[in-house]
This record gives sequence, C-alpha cells and structure tokens, in this order.
Amino acid sequence: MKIKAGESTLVFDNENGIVILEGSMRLANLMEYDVVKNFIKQAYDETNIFFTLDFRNLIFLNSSGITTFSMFILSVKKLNKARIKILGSKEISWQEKSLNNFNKLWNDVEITIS
Amino acid sequence: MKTEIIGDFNLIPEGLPAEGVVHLDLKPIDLITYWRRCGQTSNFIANFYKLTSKDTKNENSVSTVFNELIENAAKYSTKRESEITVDVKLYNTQLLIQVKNTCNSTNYKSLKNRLIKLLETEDLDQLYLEDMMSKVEENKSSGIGLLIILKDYNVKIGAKLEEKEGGLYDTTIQVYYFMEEEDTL
Repeated sequence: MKIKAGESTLVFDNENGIVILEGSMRLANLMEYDVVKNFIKQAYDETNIFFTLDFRNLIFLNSSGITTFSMFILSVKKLNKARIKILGSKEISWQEKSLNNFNKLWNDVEITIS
Repeated sequence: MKTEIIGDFNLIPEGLPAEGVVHLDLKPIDLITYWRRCGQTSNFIANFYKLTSKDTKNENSVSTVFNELIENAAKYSTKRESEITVDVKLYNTQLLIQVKNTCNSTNYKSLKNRLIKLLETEDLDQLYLEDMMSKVEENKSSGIGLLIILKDYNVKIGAKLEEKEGGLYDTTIQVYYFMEEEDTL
C-alpha cells in the first residue's frame, strides 16, 4: 500500500506493521491531510502488536502535519490495540526537536531517535 | 489608529549592521494558488543562511521555523489586494525573521489572543496537549505553528499589530532564532 501526499510518499509494509514516510510533507491544512490520516488509520487497523511510523527520511513536516499525527495518536490511544513506535533521525533537526511531542500525548508511544 | 507591541519585538538596536539581509515581497494569492511556494521560499531562506553556520542542523530548523510564519501569512492575509513583506537578517549568531502581512479584524483578534496566551503560559507542553485534545473533538483548522516554534526551538517571538483604515490590520511577526553553535564562519 502506497500513497503520495504533496511532495511526500507513504509506504505501508504490512508484514512488519511499518509506515515509511519520505520527502517533504507540508500540506496546506488539516483537510488536505485527510489523505494521510486515512492512510495511517487503515494501516494501523491492519496491524496487531506494534505499529511503527518511520519518519527518518521525512525532511520536513509542518505544524498541520504534526497536528494530524498527534490527533491520530490520541484517537488510537482509546482503542487499546497496537502500541506505537516512532523512528526519527538525529540528523534532521525537526525530528530531534518535535517527535518527542507524541510521547506527551500517550506515555506508551516508544520513540527512538538515532 | 492604535499600535500594539506584544512579546519580544525590535530587540536588535536600530543601526546595527546585519551580516546578511534578505528582503522579499510576496502576494498571498501566489502562495495559496501554488502552496509549495511556501516551502520553496522557506528552503531558499534556509539555504541562503546555511553558509554562515557549521552546524548543518540549522538549515532544517530555519526552514521549519520560517515555513510556519509564511504559511500563516498566506492563510490569514486579506487575499488579492495585500502584500507579504519578508525580512531575514543575520546578527552574529542571531537570525531575525520578520514577516509582515495585512489581515481582517477576526484574524487580528485571534492572532493577538494566541500570542498573549503563548507568551503567558508557563507550561507549553501542557498547552500542546490541551490544544490537541480539543482538536480531536472539533477537527478545526490548525493554528499550532507558533506554539511548536516557541516550544521546540531556541527562539524569541514578538509582534507589532497596527490598525489601518477599513477594519484592516498590519501584523508584523518577529522571530529571533539563535543559531545552534558558538562558532560562525
């Protein structure tokens, strides 16, 4: 499963429950992010134990994007289903600075920035 | 016609020469028609100033911070008749990013209230959590850009809000971004 959103792509590896994000994700507003929200929600629904969001190749994510992923985490927190893992790169400063926000929404979100 | 100053505004003494100046005049309509121009402009600014810093991470940070300001200016300007004025100046390790645009009274009020709340709040993490929880319920448009900049980056933020004729306001946002290293080339 794969989609393009603006200048970014999302690929779902359903065997391993990983969504790999690449490129630059700076869509204009939350409505434009619906395509991303629906994609990760569908991928999450097909995953059982651990669901991983791999941001390491996503060079930019704007605040509408941060809001979209934050809302996703809050929405699946209630489901008590698969746990979430986040992968980030310390070479890309927005990831080092902002990915940890997701853990503030749900303590069980596991964030690895390497 | 009233003028209000909020937060850290005009911190650099007048007359101090900058070590790099970029000035751009943009039209909101051009950014809205081709939204990617916001990102293009942000990357240009970041690319221009990356030569002054040994720490390569500044490029990503400057682009990210600038992008939030230019996206806001594009979204909240009165459309065709207005201009967005951008000035980005480097003073040693401090980058002053200034974005000026014209908006209506509704957007003026929400910007003013937002800035006051951001600058008065002691726990920005808690504000982020509350904002996100309310968004899940309302699914309203974003507006978290300034919070993310202030919370996650080493910056100071201020604004000048000037009333104009016809119920319009000139809003000038200044962000002082501190380059993440002591040595500059």
